[in-house]
Amino acid sequence: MSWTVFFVAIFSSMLINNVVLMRFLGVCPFIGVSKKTNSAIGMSMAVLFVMVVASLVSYLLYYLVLVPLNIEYVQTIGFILIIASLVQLVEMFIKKVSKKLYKSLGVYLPLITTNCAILGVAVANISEDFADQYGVFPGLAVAVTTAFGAALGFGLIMFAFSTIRERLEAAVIPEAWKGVPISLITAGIMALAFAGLGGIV
Amino acid sequence: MAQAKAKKKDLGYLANLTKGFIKENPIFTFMLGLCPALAVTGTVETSLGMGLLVIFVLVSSNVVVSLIKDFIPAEVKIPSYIVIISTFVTMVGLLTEAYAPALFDSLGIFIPLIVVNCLILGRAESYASKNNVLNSAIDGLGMGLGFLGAMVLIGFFREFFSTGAIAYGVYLPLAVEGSIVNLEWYILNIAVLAGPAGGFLVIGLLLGLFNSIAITKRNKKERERQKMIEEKKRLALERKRKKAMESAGGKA
Amino acid sequence: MFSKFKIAFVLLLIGAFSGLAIWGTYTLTYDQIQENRARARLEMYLDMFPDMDTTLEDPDDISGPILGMRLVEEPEHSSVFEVYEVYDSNSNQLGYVMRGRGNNDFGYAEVIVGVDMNGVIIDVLISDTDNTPSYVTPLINNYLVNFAGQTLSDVSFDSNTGATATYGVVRRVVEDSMLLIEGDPILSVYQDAIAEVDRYETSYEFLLGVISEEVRLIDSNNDTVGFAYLGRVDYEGHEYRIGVIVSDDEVLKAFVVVEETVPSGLSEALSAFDSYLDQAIEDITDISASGDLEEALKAILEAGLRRSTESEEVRFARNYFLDAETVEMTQIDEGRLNMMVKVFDDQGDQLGYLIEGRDTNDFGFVEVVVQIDMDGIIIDVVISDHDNTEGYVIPLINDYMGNFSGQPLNDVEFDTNTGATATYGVVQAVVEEAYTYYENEMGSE
Repeated sequence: MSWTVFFVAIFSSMLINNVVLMRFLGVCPFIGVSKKTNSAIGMSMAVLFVMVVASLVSYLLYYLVLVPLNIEYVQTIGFILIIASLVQLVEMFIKKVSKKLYKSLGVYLPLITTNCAILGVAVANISEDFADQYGVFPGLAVAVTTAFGAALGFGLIMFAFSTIRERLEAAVIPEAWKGVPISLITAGIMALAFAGLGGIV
Repeated sequence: MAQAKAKKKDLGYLANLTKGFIKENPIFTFMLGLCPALAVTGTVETSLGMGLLVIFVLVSSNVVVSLIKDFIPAEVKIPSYIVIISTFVTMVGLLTEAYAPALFDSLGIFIPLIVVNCLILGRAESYASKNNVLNSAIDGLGMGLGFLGAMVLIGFFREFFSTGAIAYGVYLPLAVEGSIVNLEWYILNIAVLAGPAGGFLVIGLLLGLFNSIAITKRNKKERERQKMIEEKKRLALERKRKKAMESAGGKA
Repeated sequence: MFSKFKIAFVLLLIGAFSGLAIWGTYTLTYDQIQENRARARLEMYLDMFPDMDTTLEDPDDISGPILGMRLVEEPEHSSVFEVYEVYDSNSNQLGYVMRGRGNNDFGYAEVIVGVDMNGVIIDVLISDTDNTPSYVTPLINNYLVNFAGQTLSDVSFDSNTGATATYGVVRRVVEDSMLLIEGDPILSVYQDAIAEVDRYETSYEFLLGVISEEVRLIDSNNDTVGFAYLGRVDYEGHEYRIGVIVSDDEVLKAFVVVEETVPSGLSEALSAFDSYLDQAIEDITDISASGDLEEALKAILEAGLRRSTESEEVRFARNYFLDAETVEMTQIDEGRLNMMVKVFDDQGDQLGYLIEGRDTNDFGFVEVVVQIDMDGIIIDVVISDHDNTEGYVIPLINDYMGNFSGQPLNDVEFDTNTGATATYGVVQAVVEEAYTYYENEMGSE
C-alpha cells in the first residue's frame, strides 16, 4: 500500500464524492445551520471531530467485535449507539476542558447525533471493504483518512454555501423563493459544478 | 405552538391522518428527511420503496414508543428512542434484503440511514411520547404517507424529465401527427435531473412552486378578510348612524 | 438510587427486546438472504439459462463453485479466458458460457457470451467495463441485443459500430467464442497438413503482392512448426483464400483452400499441384501450369515458396520493394538511425534504399522506415512499429504520411500542421537524419 492511497482517499471523499452534494448525507444541517458563516464553521469543526472518531471506533467495533461474533447485522444499532454516546462524551469533555470552546461548539453537538453524514460515512467505510483490500489495520488508516476527507468536504461546502447565503440575504428574491427554495437551487448548481470534478481520480 | 398542540387533541382520526399530507408535509413543510428525499428519488420505483420502508418504521416506532412512554425515564428518552428506531430499521433492512433484493440494492446505504431520518425521531419525540397508541399509529401512518407522497412526486418529476418515463420505465405514448411516439426522444432527456444536482433542483423548484401557490392563496384570503372587516365596519357604522338617528328621532 | 436502577433496568429491557427482535428477524430471513446473494452472483447466467442448476458444491461456501456451471477450459491464447458448460439439475447440458476480456483505448471490457447446445447465441452481455458509460449504454441498448438468436458460426457483426472501441472488444470475444465452441475449420486445415499444429497466428500482413498473409503455425510447446502463406483467387465470382503450407524444415506440406466448401473446379485445379507435396522447397523449381486458374494458383505457390526461404533482411526489404531478391545491410550507430539496407532485384540491379530509424517520444517509441529510390526520391515513409496511442497515429498515417511520397529527400516539405504532434516529430527527425546520412554516405557514390 502506498501513500497515494491516502491522498486519493482524502481527495475523492472531499471533492469528488462530496458527502453533501454527491452523496446527500448531512443535508439537514447543510440547509439548517448554513445561514451564518460563523455557525457553519462551528458545525463543520464539530462534525470533523465526531466523524473521524466515530469512523475509528465504529470500524474497530465492526472488525474486532461484530465480525468475530458473527453478528454483522447489528451494525446499524451498534454504530448509532457509538455515535450517540460519543457525542455525549465529547460534549462532557469539551465542557470540562474549555468553556469557550463549549460555547462555540456545544450547541451543535446534539444535532450531530441525527446528522446522517456521520452514520453514513461510518457505514460506507465498512461497505467499501477497506479491510479486504488492505488488511484490517491498514484499512483502518484508509477508513479514518476517508472520514477526515469527507468531513473536510462537508466543511468546505458548508463554508462556501454559508457565504453564498449571506449574499442571498441581501439579494432581491421573489417572495415564494426566499429561504429554502433558493438555497436548494443554489445547492443544485453547486452540485453541478462539483460533478465536473468526477473522473479526476 | 402551544395553541397548535391544544388544537391537535381535538382532531378526529381522519384529520389526524390527513394532516401530514399537505399542511404538515414532512418534506415540503418541515424539511424533515431531506437526505433520502434527495438521494433515492432518481426514479419513482426507489422513491416508492423508500417511502414504504419509512412508513413501516415510522408506524412501528410510534406504536412502541407510545406503548412504553410511561416506563422510560426522562434522562434516557432519546437513546431509548434511537435503540427502538434502529431495531426496526435493522429488521426492515433484513426483510428488504430477503424479499425485495432489487430494492435493497438500489437503496443501498440509505436503508441504515433511516435511523437518522429526522422525521422518525421527531414524531417519536413530539407526538408518540405524548399520545395514545391508536393516535400515534394514525399519526405515523399519515406522516409516512405524506413523506411517501412527496417522495413519489419528486421521483416522478426527476424520472419523467430525465428519461421521459412515467414510472418503472413505462413511457407515455403520445399521439403526434397520427402516430404514437415515445417522449423519450424528444425534449424530455434532461439527464441532469437524474443525477445528484437534479435532487436539489427539483425539490427547490417544487418548494418554490408550492410556496407561490400558498402565497397566492394567503393573499387572496387576506384580501377577503380585509373586505369582510370593511363590510362589518360599514354595517356597524350604519347601525350606529341608524341608532343615532332613531334616538334623535325619538327625542324629537 | 432507586431511579438509577430503574434507568438501568429499563435500558436493559429495551436492549434485550431489540436484540431479540433483530435476532428473530435475522434467523427468519437468513436463508432467503443467502439465496438472494447467491442468485445475484448468478443473475446474468440465470437470465440466459433459467433452468440452470444453482446448487452449491459446498453448501456453506456461498461464493464457491456451483454444480450447474462447470469450468471446462481456460484458454490461453484467446480473448476468452473461461469456458463453462452449463447443466440443469438432471445433468443435462444446456449450453456454454464464455467469459472474455479485452482492452481498448479507454480501458477494458468484460464480455459474457451465452450459447445453447445448437450453437445459437442466447445473449451477449458486457458484465464489467471502465469505458465511458455514455459510450457503452447505447451499444448495449442498440447493438448487443442483435446477437441474441444468431447462430454463432454464422454471426453477423454490425458494420456501423464495427469501428467503435468497445464493440471491437465484444466482436473479438464473440469470434473467439465461436472458435472455441465450433472448433476452428481453418485450424483443422493446418492440422491436416502438420499434425502438431495447436494454434496459429498471423505474423505478417502484406499490403501488396500475390500473398496477403503470413501465418505462423505453432505447436503446444509454443514452437513454430511451419508457416502458411495465404493469397486470394477469384473463382466463379467468389473470392477464395488459397494457402501454401510449408513445414519448418522447408518442405511443402499442402496447397489448400482455407474455406469450408470448395467448388469442384477449384479443387481439380489444386490437385494439379499435388505432385509437389512433401518435396523440399529448393527441389521445386519448374512449376507448370495450364489455364488461368492454375496460373493464379501457381503465382500464390511461387510467392509463398519464395517467401518461405527468404532471410529476415530480404523479408524486410520485400515488404517495401516487391521485387527485392538480395540485400546489403549496414548497421548504423549514430543518432536515431538503426540500419540502411540496399535492395537489389534478381538481375542484381539496385532498386533503392531503406533507412530505418527509431526514437522515443513522450508516449513511447516509434520506428520509421524511409524508402528511397535510386534518384533520391522518397517512395514512402512508413511507421513500422510503435507503442503510441493508436488514436493519434492512425490519422497521421491516413492523412500525412502519404504526402512524403514523391518528394526528393534533399528537399522535403514537412507538414507544419502536424509538426507539433509527438509522433510526427519522430517521423520528421528520422526523415531529416536519413537525408544527412544519405548525403554523407551515398550522395558521393
